Amino acid sequence: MKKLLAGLLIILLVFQTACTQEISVKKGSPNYKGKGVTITDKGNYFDVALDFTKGLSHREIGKEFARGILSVVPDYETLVDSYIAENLFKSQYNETFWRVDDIKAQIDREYREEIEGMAEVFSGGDKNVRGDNKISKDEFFLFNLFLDVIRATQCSFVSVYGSQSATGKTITGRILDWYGGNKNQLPRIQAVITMKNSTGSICSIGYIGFMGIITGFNDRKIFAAVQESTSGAAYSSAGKRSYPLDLRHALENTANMEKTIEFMQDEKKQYAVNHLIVFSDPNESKVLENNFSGRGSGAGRLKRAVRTAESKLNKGVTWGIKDAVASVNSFILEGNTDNHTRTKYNTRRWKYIKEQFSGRESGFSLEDIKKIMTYTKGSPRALLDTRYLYTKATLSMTVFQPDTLSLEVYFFPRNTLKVPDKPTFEKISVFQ
Amino acid sequence: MISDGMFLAILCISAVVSLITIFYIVISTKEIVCRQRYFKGGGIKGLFNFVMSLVFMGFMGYCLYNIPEILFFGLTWNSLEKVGPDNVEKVIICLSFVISIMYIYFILTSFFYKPNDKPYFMVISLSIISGIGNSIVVFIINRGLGILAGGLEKWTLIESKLYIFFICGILLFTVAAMIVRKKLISVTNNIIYEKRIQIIDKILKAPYVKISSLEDGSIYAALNNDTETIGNFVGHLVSGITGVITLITCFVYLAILDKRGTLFFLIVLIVTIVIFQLAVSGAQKFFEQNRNYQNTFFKNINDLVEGFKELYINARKRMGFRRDIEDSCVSYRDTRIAGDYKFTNVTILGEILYTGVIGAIVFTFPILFDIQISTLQNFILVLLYMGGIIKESLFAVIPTCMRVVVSWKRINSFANSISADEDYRDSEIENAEENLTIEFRGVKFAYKNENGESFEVGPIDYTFKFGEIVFIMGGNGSGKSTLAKLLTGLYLPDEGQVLVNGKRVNSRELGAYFSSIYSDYHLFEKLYGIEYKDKLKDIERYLNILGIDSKVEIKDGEFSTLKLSSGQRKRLALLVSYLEDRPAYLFDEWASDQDPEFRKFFYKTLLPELKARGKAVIAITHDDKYFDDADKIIKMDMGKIVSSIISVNV
Repeated sequence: MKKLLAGLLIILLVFQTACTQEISVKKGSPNYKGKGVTITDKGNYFDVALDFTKGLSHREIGKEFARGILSVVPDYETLVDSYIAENLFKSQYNETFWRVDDIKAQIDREYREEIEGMAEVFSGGDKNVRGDNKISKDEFFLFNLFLDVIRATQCSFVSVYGSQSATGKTITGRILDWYGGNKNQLPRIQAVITMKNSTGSICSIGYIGFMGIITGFNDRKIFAAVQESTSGAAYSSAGKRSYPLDLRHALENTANMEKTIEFMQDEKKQYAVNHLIVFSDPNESKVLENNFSGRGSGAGRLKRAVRTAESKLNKGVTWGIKDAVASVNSFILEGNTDNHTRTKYNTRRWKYIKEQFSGRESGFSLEDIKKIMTYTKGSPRALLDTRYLYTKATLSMTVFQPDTLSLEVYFFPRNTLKVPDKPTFEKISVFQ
Repeated sequence: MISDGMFLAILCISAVVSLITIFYIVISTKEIVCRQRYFKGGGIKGLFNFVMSLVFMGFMGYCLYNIPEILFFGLTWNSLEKVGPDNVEKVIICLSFVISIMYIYFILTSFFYKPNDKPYFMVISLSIISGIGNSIVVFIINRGLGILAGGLEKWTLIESKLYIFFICGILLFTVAAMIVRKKLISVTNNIIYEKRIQIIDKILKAPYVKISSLEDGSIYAALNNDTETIGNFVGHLVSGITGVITLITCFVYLAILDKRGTLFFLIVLIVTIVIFQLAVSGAQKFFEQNRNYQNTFFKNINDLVEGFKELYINARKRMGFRRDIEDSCVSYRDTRIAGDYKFTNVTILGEILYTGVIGAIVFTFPILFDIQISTLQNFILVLLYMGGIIKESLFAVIPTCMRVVVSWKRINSFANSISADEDYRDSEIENAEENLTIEFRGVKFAYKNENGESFEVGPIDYTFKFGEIVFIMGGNGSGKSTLAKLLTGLYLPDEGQVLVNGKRVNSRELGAYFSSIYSDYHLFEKLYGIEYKDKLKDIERYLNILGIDSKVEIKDGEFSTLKLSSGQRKRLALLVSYLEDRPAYLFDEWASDQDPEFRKFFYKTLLPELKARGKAVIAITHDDKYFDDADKIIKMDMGKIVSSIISVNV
């Protein structure tokens, strides 16, 4: 009897890990063309173009976008709603809306209208019900403020430029580790979204319906991506802003990387969570360590500051590689909170990046950067235990050359939970 | 969290535990096949227990399956695999396997009973499980408090289902502890039983000289106190094992929380243990002394019981004895207090150190290290919890350990001091041939009495013949009783040979020819080694002849009473000796406190009857009135045979 039970348990585990790897994806229209909104299903991601120059308000664009989403992803509401439910206990679910309300007030009016416009198309209305497969207005705000109120990303960033680059120009690689959902919810809505407005265009490598920037760049050749950097500080959302949406604003409205960084570093803008934002332009890359807890070691008590290849680092952390910048999920600038040295999943990846960058005489090519990003022996490891950058939780990897605006992206496969051992990148044309 | 190294360690431990369990399952199965174990279902209660065990295992399975959701904040197996930590899945499979195997073993040994079984493996395994259960409780409490400290909605804690693991921990802790304690009751008593039987066997197989030279009371102490001390220690051992396992798991948990803090704490703990160890060595001598006073105490008790008559009638003697016994009680108390004081001082010092460390961590860690407050809170909570375990399971166990060490040493030295007689054998002698002879050829024996004076017997050259009555006479201290003990094999000659019918024999073989009544004889309540059922008529007749038929009777080989006068007891001893029906008889001044009537019966009837039956009869006597009834008379003086006279009757 007991053998049977033990066997059953093992079979259940195997079932969980092996037999349910394939995901059945509900097919929608292969493309959608509405006023100011174009969506094309590219197989593993959606190519989205939002044109704010056609005279439509942001709310109208939002509505059109939502209609397009439902056309190409009929079960979009189920995917997003179930993803939210999966990530939050019932009690957390209700509490999180208080956080959303706090931050919502500070969101730029235009962005807020976009989100509200989209929410109006979805079927959930104003009623928040956890796991009802409908998206309510609050739930959609929650989805857009996910990084501000729930914090679940964990990423790596590597960048070479100048002498370290084979082209002499910046080559940037960004790995996004994020929980994709039990039913592959996020991979099923991953997208490359181009937003065109009067000042220019920006591109977001993210998820349809997510209006902020997780990874993105603009036509002024400024690349930016967000990274989490928790320090154990108590959470507070009162009066705080959304950093992915502010980053979008920065990319849309600033002319150069310094201005973009300045915008995100502005003392007036307070954010609910500590984070990093990595920036690249054709000639250089920098990391903004946006720490709001101010519990740094040493006399400096550094809070929000920019790290470059030459910056002095906290005791126990070394870099020493000219014309190259990297980042894991930690603050390492001298005087900043040390959430690095005692966290193995940071130190291991940092060590690995340094090893890859050290002792190289010639510059790194695009392929070299991709190799550093994807190198793993055998199958990738789980996020917390990996020493490589590509992990089981990697949802996307972006390689970008700002100078030529050349973009290559690996997206996690839509229709399977199985993590590929050898991820493949797709070349994506933007701003055509 | 679970690195490859840690997983490998878990895998190895699981493999070892599984292999050992499988080994025991095979052994148990073999015992069942060989009918050394038999099914004992236990009726309704057994069925209930079985069903409850299935429910328990179902619950364990449920807990294991829900580890990702409950312990990893609502993760699914899929998300756990991606986010990590790695190896959780493999660890759970290992645990499932080990738990299942252990369950099979547990069911097998619980429902197939083996008399005098010593389930050490099960006891130790369950103690470990109990320790793990204990640790789970504290981890879950810590985790729960951590969730609450995070300022989340109050129902989050309930929704997290952490309480399921809390219940799991309690169940593991209590159920395992309950089974262990029940098992221990029988294990402990079996240990006491076996140790006692072992010592009794040693005593029974030991040479008489060794036993007679033992300090009074030492046998009582070894058989009673020392064995009890060792037996009862098993209980402490289990709580010790449970405590240590809990501490180890707590240490692992602490190391996960904060390595530097754990290292700091570990160093202080080692310092405390070293100090403890030093104190232990100081206290050891007090426990040794204490154990010596135990011997004296038992000796006093023996005197109290045996000499109660004398104490009863003599107030001075009584008061003197009381002072003496009080002195030994005082010494016993004082050495015990001194030993325990040593431990108390160090225990308090240890507690101060321990609490000091917690204080140091609270006040200095936030300054010295960049540590999260929630981590610090968790750390301190676990340390406080561990403090209770260290105090109860380790500090409290060490004095007991010391007493056990002392008792263990005493039992071993006692056992060594009474090492078995080389000549020992259980078999009886074959029916002796007729006309056998017991010949002493140059036999010499020397010993020191209680006052340290040495006394020598021999050389003795003499042949005792079967069908012959020999009287041994002589003054006090002439060596009569020593000769009697040499004759019956109680003493081993230092020089010379003892031959039976011309063949050299050892002391045990020699003793087997004799039935003896020594002057300090002991009368057992039962007729040990006598086939009394065939001799019931003889018994009846002799009870009548000896004049004790109205006082005592024999039922199922047991005397109805031994509360007889000294003369009556001796006559009863004579009956026992007669019934033993050995080839040779030795009586050491048997008739000295008998009425003339029974003296006459002894010399005129019994001895000739024995002689007529071809027995060798040797009697130590001063009754010169009956010297004519002997065939030979030996006179002893200063340990030597000074004359050997052939009786006029011969």
